[in-house]
Amino acid sequence: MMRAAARLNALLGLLLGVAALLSLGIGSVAIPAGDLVAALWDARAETTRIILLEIRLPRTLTAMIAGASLGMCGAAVQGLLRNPLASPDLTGATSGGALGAVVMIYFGAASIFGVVSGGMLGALAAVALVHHLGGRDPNGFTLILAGVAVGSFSIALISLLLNLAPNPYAVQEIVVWMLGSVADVGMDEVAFLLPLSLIAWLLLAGAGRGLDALNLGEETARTLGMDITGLKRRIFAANALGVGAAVSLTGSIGFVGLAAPHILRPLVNWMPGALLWPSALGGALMVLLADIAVRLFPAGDLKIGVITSLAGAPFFLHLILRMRSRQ
Amino acid sequence: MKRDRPSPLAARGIEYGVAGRAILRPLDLALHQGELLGLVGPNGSGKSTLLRLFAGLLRPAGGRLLFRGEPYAEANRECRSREIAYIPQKIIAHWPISVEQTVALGRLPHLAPGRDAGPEERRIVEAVMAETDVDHLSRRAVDTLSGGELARVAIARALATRPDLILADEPTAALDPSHQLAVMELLRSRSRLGLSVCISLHDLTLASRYCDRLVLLDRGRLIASGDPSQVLTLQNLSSVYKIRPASPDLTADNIPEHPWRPL
Repeated sequence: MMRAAARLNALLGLLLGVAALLSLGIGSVAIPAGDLVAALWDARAETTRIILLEIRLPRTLTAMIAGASLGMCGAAVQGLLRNPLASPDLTGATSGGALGAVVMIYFGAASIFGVVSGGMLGALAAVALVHHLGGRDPNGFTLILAGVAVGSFSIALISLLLNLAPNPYAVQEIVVWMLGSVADVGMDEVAFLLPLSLIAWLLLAGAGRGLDALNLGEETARTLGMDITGLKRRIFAANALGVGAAVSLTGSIGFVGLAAPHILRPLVNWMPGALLWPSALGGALMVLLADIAVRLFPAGDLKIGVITSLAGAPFFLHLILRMRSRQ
Repeated sequence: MKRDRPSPLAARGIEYGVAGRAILRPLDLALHQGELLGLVGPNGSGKSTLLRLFAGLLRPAGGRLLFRGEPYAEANRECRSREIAYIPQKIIAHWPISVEQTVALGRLPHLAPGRDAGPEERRIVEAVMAETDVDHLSRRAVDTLSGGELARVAIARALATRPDLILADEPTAALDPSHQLAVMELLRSRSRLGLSVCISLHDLTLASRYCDRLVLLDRGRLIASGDPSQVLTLQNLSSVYKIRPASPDLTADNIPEHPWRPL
């Protein structure tokens, strides 16, 4: 079983590598694959190097890191709630992060770091609230309801801020931010995103056993020696850090956390623990491909969150139809 | 029967209640190594509660649970998980994973975090699947199994832990007579090899035929404990279950004759 997961990880890693090279090469200035490496030391390629290191590389890394967090957190939440329709949104991380960031934009945060710290605070607060409200329920219904309630309330507050916005520019800034984008990030932003994401991934890497055991139900998992309370805390903390950081920096990139684990699940024989790393790689691949698609789109400035949602909503519908036919 | 080790599990005056309502009155009960113990009693008598207390899923409101003479504590949670296996009444399989993978979950308490199952683990899983006669199902997804197959897979998963004690909440519920007998034969044969088994049962004929000892509960009280013929007396049946034997030939000693035999 583990060999299947290892093979899948290798394949996804390979695809991710190819996509990353594409992502570095594609843009308003195309850089041929052969020039990618040469540009790093060739003094004559100064412009190419700047484009590569200061624009393309942070953009590519941000897409990959954010996607990995979304995918892996999605796999963990689906495993925890044993529900293929669950996503990181249910922990409050997405909407809380968005609310925090929007509050900062509304009050005129001058720098991106004001926005991301607001987003992180929002995500942490929302996740803590959802966990507090629903964390004790053994079968997760309260947790799902709490997640939905906190999520809708956050969206309502964002609407309120849009409504009260003093000028159209603020409204536009908020709306554009919410559409989700990994453009215009630099290495400083990557330096903010990466450590928080790494902590999230490491937290989740230790969740596999508990998620596997949960397949037998919460009680049996506990009699197998699993600390389910600790598992819930671990997964919520990972969502707050990983998804919180991703959303704060990139805005909302929907459906990746739902779809990445769902597509990959049959390929790891449905084992929730073995699904974690493939979902990280798959999520990274999805966001990266969406970002490449955005750059290839001929007309105007398309946002990445729009692409993932456009592709994601029909997918969600397909999921529901397939679940109905299974029953 | 091995009786040389300290009792795997002993309850000293444990009780349980919810919101001031007593569900289990203080009771003492020790399980012996290699014993097949049956908990009987009407619905709501506290059988499942007692099993869940034993499994460490509920915290007793009073009294103490001893695991090999040591009090239950967070410190021996992992140790207990290697020696006590629990099978819930409703067998759950959330994802359609294979039978083999499900049985292998029983090895989790023995696997260090981050370590994959090696050939030794695989050998144990294959052995218990053969013992429980589910080896021919190993590639099947658990959600495609019949009730009888699922019950055997759950027992295989519990046995895969190689525990000293199996707690099972009505393992024969929802099974046809042939599968009921198969499950009871399996549990009894394992108990003859030194495994302690504690199960709750509704079928009194099965209970008296297979169990070494019965514990009769009624509304949270321990009414009787001992040999099946001492527990399932006409007196107890009428006062606890409000039933009497249908035939006058049945006496306290021969009530417990189960009409079926496995082929």
